[in-house]
Amino acid sequence: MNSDVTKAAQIFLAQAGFVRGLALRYAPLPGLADDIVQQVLVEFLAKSSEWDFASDIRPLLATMTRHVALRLWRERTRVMPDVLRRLAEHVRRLAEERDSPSVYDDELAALRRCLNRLPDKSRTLIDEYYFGEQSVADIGAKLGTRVDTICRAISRVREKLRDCITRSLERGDANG
Amino acid sequence: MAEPQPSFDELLDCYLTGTLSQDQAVRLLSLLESHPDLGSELLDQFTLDAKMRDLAGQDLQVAPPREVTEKASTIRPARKLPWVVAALAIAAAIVVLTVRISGPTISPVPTPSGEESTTVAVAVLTRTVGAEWAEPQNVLVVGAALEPGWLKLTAGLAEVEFFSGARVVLQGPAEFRLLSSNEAFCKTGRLTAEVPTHASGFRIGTPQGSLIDRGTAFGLSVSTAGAEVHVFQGKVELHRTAGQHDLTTGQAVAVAHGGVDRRLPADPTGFVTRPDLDRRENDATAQQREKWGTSARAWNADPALLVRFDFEGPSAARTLRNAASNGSPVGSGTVVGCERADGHWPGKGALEFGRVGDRVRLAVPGELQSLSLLTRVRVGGLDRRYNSLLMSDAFDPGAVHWQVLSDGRVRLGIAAKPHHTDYDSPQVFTPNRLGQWVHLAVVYDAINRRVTHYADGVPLHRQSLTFDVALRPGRAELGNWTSGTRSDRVPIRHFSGRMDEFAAFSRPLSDDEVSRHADGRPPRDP
Repeated sequence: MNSDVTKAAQIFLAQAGFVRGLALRYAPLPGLADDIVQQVLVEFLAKSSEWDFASDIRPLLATMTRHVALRLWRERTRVMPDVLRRLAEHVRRLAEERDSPSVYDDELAALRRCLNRLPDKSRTLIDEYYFGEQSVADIGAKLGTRVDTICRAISRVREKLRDCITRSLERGDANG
Repeated sequence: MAEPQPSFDELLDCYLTGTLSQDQAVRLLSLLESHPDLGSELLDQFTLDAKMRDLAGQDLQVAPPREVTEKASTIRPARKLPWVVAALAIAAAIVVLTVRISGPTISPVPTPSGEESTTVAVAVLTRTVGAEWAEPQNVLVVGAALEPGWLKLTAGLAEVEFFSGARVVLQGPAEFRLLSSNEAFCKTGRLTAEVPTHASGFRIGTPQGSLIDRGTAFGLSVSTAGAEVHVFQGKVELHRTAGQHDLTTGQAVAVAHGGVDRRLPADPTGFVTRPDLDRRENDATAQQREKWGTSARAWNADPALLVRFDFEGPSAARTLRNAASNGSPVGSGTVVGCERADGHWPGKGALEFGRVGDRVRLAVPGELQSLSLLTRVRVGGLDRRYNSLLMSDAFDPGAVHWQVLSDGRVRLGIAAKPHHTDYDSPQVFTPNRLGQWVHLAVVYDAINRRVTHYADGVPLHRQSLTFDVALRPGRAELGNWTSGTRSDRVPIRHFSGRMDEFAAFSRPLSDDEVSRHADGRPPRDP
């Protein structure tokens, strides 16, 4: 049984990007993807002795992810104020209308490469916001700049990164 | 006058950080409904933001001790999810607890899958002096291969060499995040960096801006109040969102949080240089040697000690003195081929094994019911299918064969007729653990009828004895094997690496005793 758990854990980790990509699509609420992937892992490990590891495990994980995502989505949005719930549902409908293949791991690898190609000023901003865990208010106060300006600048860098990722995947850049 | 409406970008930031108020939600929903193109924009930004947070959420994993996490890291080296690792650790703990709680029952040892191990390390921890780490479960040892993630040093000094060649000395307390082989982020703390020309472009981000080195030596101090950069040699660029400073030898800049940047003359005071580190390391080594000497005398007097080699002595000596002070019948060991080297601290004696002929010959006479073997080794590479630690000659009944397998597991083999049993540990040596000093132990316990493997004082695996046999180590050797008359398919089993301590006891040591030996403490408190 323990070897089943070990094996299941290894397989899951190899597919974590696939699950996360689906979670972002089924439940596009900031922070919820982490909870979904974690819950899928817990349920996947709990029944590890039932799975056939010799076959493709992705269909199973996709089904589990969808069920968990819907369940957590309902739990999370149920306690939201009405307007926030309506906003969340609006965003979810938009996400459902998108037919995007799940290539999360490839995109993440491309993102690493693209980060290294950012101009220094943009990279510094991203470092402070994401790696330095500073809020836009902190960065704005430090620079004496309006919060709106910082938000816009970060959005532009994200746009650049998105474009870079798209180009990188189209070119089929090698990982690393 | 009414306040201006927040822009879409502001609303987006609040949405992504989960800080959107109800009024802002009304505004954002209105924008999305009236401008359909903004919906697509929001989704793109949401997805990219999630990926960035995923990257930023990666955490430090250094030579995890449990086999589940080690294997996991070989499957998807490009990503680490802290919660996944935590969950896997829980799964691994279930395995370990099951083994420990169930006691001496035969438990399956997961066999490595056969996939080639790999690493995503970007740097190496090369030296520490009095280092204390914020996360007790992630105590880093010298030689550890460091993967991207946080180094949280609460006290002491730690020297990190990036794979690019850049070298950083961190002074605790410091929070320092490794990002790649040529890049890091310093949240707080003080450091000095030496960056050779070929590592030019080495980058350290800070909350106040990013440093880009152009081949130099500099000091950096970061606190919540601001940051200071002092260039001792060469050139450093400090990129701020508001502009850029180019600093050359003898120049410094102080960047205050919310204040004006000030140019200063560089001042090395308070920054630890390499000579400083050498001096402090020497002081620490002297203290360590004194503590080790006290502990060693207590172990040497244990009535059950058969042999203990401390590998100390003149560099030209070709024998290892048995340090046991209890009248043990085991004599000295004879060094064949090996060269003298430094042990797990500078100046500690050790032997380097590497050539096919290198070995230490010894003889452990008599029959034993139980046996505890302990050693401290630095494995350079698992070159052979079997890499010898202590090997009785040939395969006579009762022969003891303690060795590291090429997949990183440790094996205790006991020869007998008609049976021969191998007691294997889980994988101990992964690529990240090569080059690090590791304390290994195995206890053959005839009283409780079980074999226990340990690494760094932690029990890894227990297995029931499969048959009774009197152990006869007899003529044996460290770091190699003489196969005798047996025509074996794998006769070359030499060890590649260093050994700086070896001990054998004729009784089963307890978990606590093994832990104490690994920590360099005496067998019991005075």
